[in-house]
Amino acid sequence: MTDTQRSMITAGLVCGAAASVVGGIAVRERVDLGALKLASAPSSVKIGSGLLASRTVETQIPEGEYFDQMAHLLKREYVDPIKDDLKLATGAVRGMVGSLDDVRSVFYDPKLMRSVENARKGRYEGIGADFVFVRAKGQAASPGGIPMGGGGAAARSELVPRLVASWVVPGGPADRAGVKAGDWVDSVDGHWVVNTEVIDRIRTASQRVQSGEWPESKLRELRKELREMLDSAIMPYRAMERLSLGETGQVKVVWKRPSGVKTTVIQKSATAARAVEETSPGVFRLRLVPGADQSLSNAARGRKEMTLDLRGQAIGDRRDVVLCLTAIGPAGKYGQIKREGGKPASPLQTEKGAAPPKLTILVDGQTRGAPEALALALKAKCGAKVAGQSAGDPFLTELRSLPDGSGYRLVTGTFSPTAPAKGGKSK
Amino acid sequence: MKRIGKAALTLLAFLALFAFGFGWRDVQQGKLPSVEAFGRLLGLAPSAAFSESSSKVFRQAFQTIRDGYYKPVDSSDLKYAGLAGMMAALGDPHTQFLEPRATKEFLLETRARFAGVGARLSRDPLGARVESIFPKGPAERAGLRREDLITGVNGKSVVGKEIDDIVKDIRGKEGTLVTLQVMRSGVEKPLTIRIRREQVVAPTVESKMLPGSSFGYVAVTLFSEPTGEQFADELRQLERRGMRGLVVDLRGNPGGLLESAADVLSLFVEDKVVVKMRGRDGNEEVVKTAKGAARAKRLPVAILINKESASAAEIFAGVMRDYRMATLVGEHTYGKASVQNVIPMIDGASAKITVAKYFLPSGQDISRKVDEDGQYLSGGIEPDVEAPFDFDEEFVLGNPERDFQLSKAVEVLMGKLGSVLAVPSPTEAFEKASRALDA
Repeated sequence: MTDTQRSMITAGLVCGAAASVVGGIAVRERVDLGALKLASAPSSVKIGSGLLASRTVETQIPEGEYFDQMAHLLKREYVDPIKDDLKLATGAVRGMVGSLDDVRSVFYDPKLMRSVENARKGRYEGIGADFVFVRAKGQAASPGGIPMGGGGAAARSELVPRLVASWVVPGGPADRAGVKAGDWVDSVDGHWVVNTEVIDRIRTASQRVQSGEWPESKLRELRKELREMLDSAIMPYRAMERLSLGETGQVKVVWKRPSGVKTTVIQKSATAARAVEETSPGVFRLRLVPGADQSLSNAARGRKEMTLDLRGQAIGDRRDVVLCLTAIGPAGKYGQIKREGGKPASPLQTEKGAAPPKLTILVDGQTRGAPEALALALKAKCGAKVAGQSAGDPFLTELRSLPDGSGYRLVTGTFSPTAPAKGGKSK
Repeated sequence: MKRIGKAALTLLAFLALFAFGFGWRDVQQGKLPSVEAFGRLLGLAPSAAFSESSSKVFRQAFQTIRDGYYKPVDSSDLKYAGLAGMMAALGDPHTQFLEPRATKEFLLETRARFAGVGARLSRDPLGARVESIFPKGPAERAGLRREDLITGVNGKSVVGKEIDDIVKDIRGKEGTLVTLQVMRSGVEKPLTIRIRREQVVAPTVESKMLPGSSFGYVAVTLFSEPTGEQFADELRQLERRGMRGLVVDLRGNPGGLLESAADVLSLFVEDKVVVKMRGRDGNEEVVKTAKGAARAKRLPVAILINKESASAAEIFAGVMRDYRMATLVGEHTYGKASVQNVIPMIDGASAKITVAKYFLPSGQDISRKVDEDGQYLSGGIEPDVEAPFDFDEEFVLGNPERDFQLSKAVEVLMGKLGSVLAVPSPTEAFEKASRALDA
């Protein structure tokens, strides 16, 4: 080997060594960048870089794939490690339910879901009442409005509903404190429950002041009042949590009702409520919960006449209606469960049935949803007499649970009886 | 045989050198080479795999809701609502899913320069409150005043509207007119003010001597590029006028450039850590103040903060407090101390994700936490001296007689100065004074 050859090799080796080091630094740079700047880094093959924007035209991404990829992205990019995948999934469900902008379709946190399920089994905690969100009639939309809570980002633009105690468990804490079905919650422990009524008041006042009808001082007063309220406000959903969870402690609740305001201090405790209860001879209060059908058919056995009390009942699902109809009504078709926008309707019908006694059904302004559908169905099919005026919203729901204990209730249709029955208004 | 051995050895040596290069970044930062980075190189990254069962939960719910709900549901809206909900589940208000439309707006906001009227607004139940008016701007010329309440824009009521939306309404094309309905205290009838929109430059630093005292007052409205220099100039002027104490007003300051906050901090503390920035992979970046610029090391300082002091502003306040250079007066701050990447997706949407956090010299993480409804849970910097904003006073920003929080700050400075005069060593006394206030 000549000296030239030798020095060539040495030079080659030195260059190679330097290139190795530089190459190492460069490659590291890319690897690290790949973890930080996805959009520009080609190294992000693993998460399906196909979804990241390049020069391509805007394309739709199928939801399942989109969700998986976004979850990957979050898990890789977010500053804190995300250990709980399920949290992301249930968060997404919360967001989707909230986006329906329907106060009857509600997402429940695990704690609230547990209490909803317990109440269906007859075990109430908190103040012992059923709660529903109700949008007051003629409630105006508020631009950039106030969220109802519990609904994720998409619920932000919706109207804020009232939190109504639709039914009060007899003998329970709320009942003893004098709460009546239909009362709605104005504040809990000094926290004002957000709703649009005050916004509407402010808007009216502002218009009056603009038009010169009222002095400006009036608006200032209102402004001060609203600011104080907003400082301590909670969302209706959180208020429901405070009222329906826990078996110890006191809660101070201010209620509103058409006749005025009622302030109560309620000691929380556990209360039981049966699915069917004979409140006076021949009068049975019915809650649309699992087991109601069995008790109902026992109660109806051998009777020629009976009265079903559905006053204040707003809870129940489609399945519960079908079971109760099977228990007390004849087999056959009762009507249709209607849906909107070209979604097909489905029949509400039973396979089996019973010879019904002569029925009278008591309803009131809080009777809505599945219980109202039941009343309308029995009226249409077996000529049950309906006494009172129901809410006029016989929607049907499904309750779904999720693996982490949370769940949601979804409106799946509105009941429409076969024979015309004037929208639940009858005497 | 010997040849093969030699070649293998050479290859090994190259590999070792490559590895050295690859790990150099860590060595430079005084750490052991990152095994994780090697893993990522070889595709053995700790998988960010998303569990199948969670994916199923989402897919099933999506189907149930789209098909089961009694009304038609727009698949794409539902999808985006799900993605938004997923990101909201992290409880970080700055990690957000931006739909295609929101993405467009976001890009427009950060890129385009809008024409406005030259006023800073804050939220109010009645619409928007005028926080300050830019000197020589169109709003000033048209007669808009501080503390006016804007209740309508172009004839439409803005009562109950979000402040961002009101600002959007007021901004517009340069040269066009905007009509504001305004309520002013002491004026019974609402006013109508017409303003021609212009390109406006918001001043970031304003200063003055507080009347009847030897205290200077500097309001910093934003930390932008020239803020450091502007602040130094104002400080010099105040010093010339015999300033013996300083109030720095960061109320309503939404932040801005961290570098600029560091520039201003360099006037007070020398060669000290401002923040540590820590990313997901544990990499740490440190921002420090400069050497040789600190001209106000012994000046008693009170800093005014409120719920709208965010990001660089609260970092400034926190750093000054951590080095015992200032007493914080007012209300707790917003709580934004993080860096976001906006990652575009091919459908025009994007994901804004927090990728790193700032930590104060004391190690404090001030990040704001919210619940699923976006309601405040925790975060921000607490003041040393709590002073809530008094909504009922006839507020005049920067006037101690009409600005309760400022008068508190002045009280704090008097306390500090009192001890300074009594004790020979100013620094010690200052520390004692602030300890007394902390308690």
